[in-house]
Amino acid sequence: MAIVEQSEIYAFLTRALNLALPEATMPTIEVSGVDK
Amino acid sequence: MISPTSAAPPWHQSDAADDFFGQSIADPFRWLEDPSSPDVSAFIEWQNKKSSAWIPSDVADVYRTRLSELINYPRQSVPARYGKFVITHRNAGLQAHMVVFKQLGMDGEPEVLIDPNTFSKDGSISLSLLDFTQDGTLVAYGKSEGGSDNQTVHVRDVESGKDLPDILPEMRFSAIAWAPDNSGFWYNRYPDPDSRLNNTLYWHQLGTDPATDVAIFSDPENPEVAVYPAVSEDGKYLFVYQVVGTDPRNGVLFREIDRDKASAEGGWTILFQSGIAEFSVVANVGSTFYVYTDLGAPRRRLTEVVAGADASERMTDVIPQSSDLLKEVSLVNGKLIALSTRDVHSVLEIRTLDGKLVSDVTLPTKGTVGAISGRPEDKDLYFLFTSYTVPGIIFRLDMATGMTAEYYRSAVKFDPSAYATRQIFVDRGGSAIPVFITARKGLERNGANPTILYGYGGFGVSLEPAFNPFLIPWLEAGGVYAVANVRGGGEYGTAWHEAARLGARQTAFDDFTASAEELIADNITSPEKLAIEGGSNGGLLVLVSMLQRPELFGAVVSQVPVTAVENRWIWRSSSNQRSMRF
Repeated sequence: MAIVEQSEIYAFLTRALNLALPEATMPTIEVSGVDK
Repeated sequence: MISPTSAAPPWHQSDAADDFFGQSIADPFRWLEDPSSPDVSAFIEWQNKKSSAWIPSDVADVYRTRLSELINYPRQSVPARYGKFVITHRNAGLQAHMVVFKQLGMDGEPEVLIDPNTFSKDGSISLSLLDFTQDGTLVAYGKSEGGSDNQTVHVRDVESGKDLPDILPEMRFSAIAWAPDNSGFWYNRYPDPDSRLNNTLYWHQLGTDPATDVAIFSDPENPEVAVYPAVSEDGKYLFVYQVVGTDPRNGVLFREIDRDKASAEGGWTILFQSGIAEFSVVANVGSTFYVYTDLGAPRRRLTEVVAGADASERMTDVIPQSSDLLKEVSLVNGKLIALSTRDVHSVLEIRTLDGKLVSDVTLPTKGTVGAISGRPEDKDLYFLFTSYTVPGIIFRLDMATGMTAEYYRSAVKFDPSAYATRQIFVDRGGSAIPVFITARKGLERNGANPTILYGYGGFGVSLEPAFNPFLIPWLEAGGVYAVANVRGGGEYGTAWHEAARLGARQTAFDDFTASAEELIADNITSPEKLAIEGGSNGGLLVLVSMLQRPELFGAVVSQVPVTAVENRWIWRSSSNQRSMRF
């Protein structure tokens, strides 16, 4: 539930502040030693 | 009723009004306070449809996917030692409740001791209390349903993992203190479970029917007083803390523990009277008590006093008040370990029993130390360190050398080395308001970085640096996350809280908007790219800021705000009233 709310807040801010889409800016992270 | 799909909101005004000292104040929103009303349901449904249509769901999907990855990481608590057992709380990643593990010694194999995820199918029953005997052979644990204050206390044999027959129901707001010989425990509860009056201290002898437990202390002349038990680490003293509501000015009584008189009434000495200041006996060496207090010290101090009556007049300083806020002190391996905050980040010091500084414990960065776990007989202690981009690291601190070693690090699936947190201070007429700014390293000061400014500023609550996986996608998407430690909070002690209370309430709002102006003046962001966010008291903070300075912000996120304050200045519970202390 918290994830859904937080996702909607970020989506709201993306539109309200006229931001670039997160897909374009978020890196793909590979952390060594961590099971994905 | 208006359909939720119609263009105009299903809105009406109620004609409710309150009388405040002869002045009538209208409350046209009163009808919204009944969540079971069909009108309220229709209003909420209309709002949800409207917002769902506006919020871009494809963007929310991207964030949801990333957040789901981020919160799925194994984590554990600081280890606590009781006799031969080491106790930890662990979460494999997505478990609803942390699981309690036992192991033999620090190198033993962890085994499940209590798994709250098995308490109910839907996860609605949680672990609400956990108290081990000094030797770790028994544990009293509470089960609470649906986040209720009510709990049922059970007792488990740690070695066998089996429960004893002792079950104590109706343990609302109860604390437990084991007798040093494990024969039973003292606890407090309300004799009438439906009332919040006449809180009473009882003795429970293991193996007996709790219905026959003996009441050994209450305060019939002050029925609103709650009476919490505690036993000194050396097992010599039983303390009773007397507390009224949220008033921090507690009283303390004590008596020596006599195993043959566990259930006896009387024999109490009044160490501290109620209503003077906050007093907490954090350790003792024989009959010398180490007392943490704010008496004459809004940023707290540690004192010592010989056991006896009227101690507040006899205390002498061990760690005097300083410009730092002293948070907690404990006794480990013959030395004091003192945790303070300095400009909203933790300072950990080893001191001698007479308060002399031995060493400052080196910490990775500006952050927060918590969950210090060590007992007088231990050679070392364990503590948790966290900051905005540092997921929990557990350190072992050798009390003899003052050296730390990393014991456990949470493995979150992101790259913390790409981010940095710095702290600025906003000048507000002689007061410096700290603001933590976290962003990707090498942030360009182009005046256009999307920024969230977060604040709270009330109830003496401090916003200390801590890891929150929910912030990471915002930082990864190029966002800045700023936290303003505005007045009304407790970051610098009582005075910081008092500076924005009652008639001075506006100070919190001005501190917050000044922090926003600083972020703009520093060319970090601009009003079009600046969002403000807060919850509860912080929800009020951001709404007032929005109304007073609308030109400063591009977006406002207010979560569960405490608005309609004039109608909420008194909490009404079933049996007592408490004024709110913004």
